Amino acid sequence: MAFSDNGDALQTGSPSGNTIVFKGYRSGLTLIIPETGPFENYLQELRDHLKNSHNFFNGAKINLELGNRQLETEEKAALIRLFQENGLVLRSTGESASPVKRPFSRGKAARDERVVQTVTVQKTLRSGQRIEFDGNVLVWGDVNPGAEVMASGDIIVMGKLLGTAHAGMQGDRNVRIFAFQINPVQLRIADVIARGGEKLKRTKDFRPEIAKVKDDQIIVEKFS
Amino acid sequence: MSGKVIVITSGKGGVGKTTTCANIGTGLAIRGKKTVLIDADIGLRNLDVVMGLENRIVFDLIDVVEKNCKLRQALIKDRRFDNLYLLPAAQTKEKDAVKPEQMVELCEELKLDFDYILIDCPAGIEHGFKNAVAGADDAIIVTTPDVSAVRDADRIIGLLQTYEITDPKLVINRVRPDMVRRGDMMDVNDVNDILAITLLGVVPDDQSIIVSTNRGEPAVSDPSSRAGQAYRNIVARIEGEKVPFMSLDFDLGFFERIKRFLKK
Ligand SMILES: Nc1ncnc2c1ncn2[C@@H]1O[C@H](COP(=O)(O)OP(=O)(O)OP(=O)(O)O)[C@@H](O)[C@H]1O
Ligand SMILES: [Mg+2]
Repeated sequence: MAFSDNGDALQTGSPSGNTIVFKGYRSGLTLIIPETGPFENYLQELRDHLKNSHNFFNGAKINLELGNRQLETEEKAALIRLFQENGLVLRSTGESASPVKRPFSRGKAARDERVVQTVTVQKTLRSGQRIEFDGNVLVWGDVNPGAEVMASGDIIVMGKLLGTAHAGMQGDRNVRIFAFQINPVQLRIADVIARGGEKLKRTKDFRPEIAKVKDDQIIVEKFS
Repeated sequence: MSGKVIVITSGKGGVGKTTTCANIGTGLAIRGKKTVLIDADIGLRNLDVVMGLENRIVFDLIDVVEKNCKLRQALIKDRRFDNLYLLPAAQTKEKDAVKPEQMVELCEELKLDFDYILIDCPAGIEHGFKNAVAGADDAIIVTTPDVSAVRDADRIIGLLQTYEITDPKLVINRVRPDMVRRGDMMDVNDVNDILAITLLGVVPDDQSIIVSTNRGEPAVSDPSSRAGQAYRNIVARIEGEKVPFMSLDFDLGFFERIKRFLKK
């Protein structure tokens, strides 16, 4: 494991090495995972490193450089989870050929056809924690005030949504936000914003609700 | 002996960490547990003042980690309560004068001799926080029932997960039943709705805390203090006893709840 804070010596940071590398470029931090060797080992290396760096990376936006390595869905999810647990935000992946169609399309037909990845968050997101994902986000817990969930696809919260959620981050207004209580600080779907306590009703009920865009406004309705 | 290291932390300042540390520590000592309080609020020490031990400080935490003195020399024994010791903070040093590794080492050494090691954490999530939690096995989160304190407590609970402290306990301090009843203050359920961690106790807002703080005698040792009773209950729960929450613990009485329910 090496950390270099200036995008100098590229040779140490090429995906052909045998250890993970963080490099700082002007555009931000890049995590380089070697092309060859078992992914699990690199994940463990990263886990150890993050543990020893006690929140040093908290809030950092990370670009991922994988060379020719193709991540399995579970591998990617494990990596994202590790990032999220340590307050890191995955900004982009350097996967050379992604098997996944990105959720850019707007039409209803296109929406039904597309294949979108989903990342699962296994616990409550607390104040100051944030997940950003190119795909859908599923949270097994609450999203507390001060926490943020950003997804290019749908957001599903198996608990209370009390913080900030932004679905359809890349402009798709056809996405939805689901939770068992929608009482957020702020909701965003694509470019439409609704603030808590203002346009959004405040409720303490615990029942399935869904937010979507209708006539340029976010509406929250009972899910049935 | 292998003692337990508990950090008392909050995120937000002024919510009652030092008060809680002094009272729980004294309560444990009264119950016969050998207890040491570590003031990790370097540069802003005041646990010694709350404990009425300020005039006995010779060496401090920094002296210990820098090996200017033996640990034994820096520990101040409380003359009123057997079993109670204080390791004071340095008043004149910067917060980064201690490193997390040194705190871990110190805690390991104290564990050999004490049942409980309580660490009074500074406000914030910076260097001082990292030092205070480094050697801790468990945490007590103190919050007051207001939105900003609860928000900060939530942030702390999230951060503690990265230190493998996954089951922190909650103390809600300065609750005013009258305000809760009027709906002007969050009640226990509102706080728990967000934080959802194990509740250790609820301490009322009580003038006896201020009086006892000024005297340097923790309220827990005063049988007539309501806050003192709340702290005695907290201490019993730490010791594994199942103590029901007092009615003042829970803002609303039973009938009040029924009334509210019927009104809906
Ligand atoms: N239950 C209570 N009732 C009345 N006053 C209280 C109560 N708890 C704490 N206080 C008062 O609130 C003030 C702050 O308490 P304390 O110093 O314990 O907070 P703290 O969290 O340690 O603050 P800091 O973040 O500055 O270290 C003190 O004046 C204390 O006497
Ligand atoms: Mg204090």
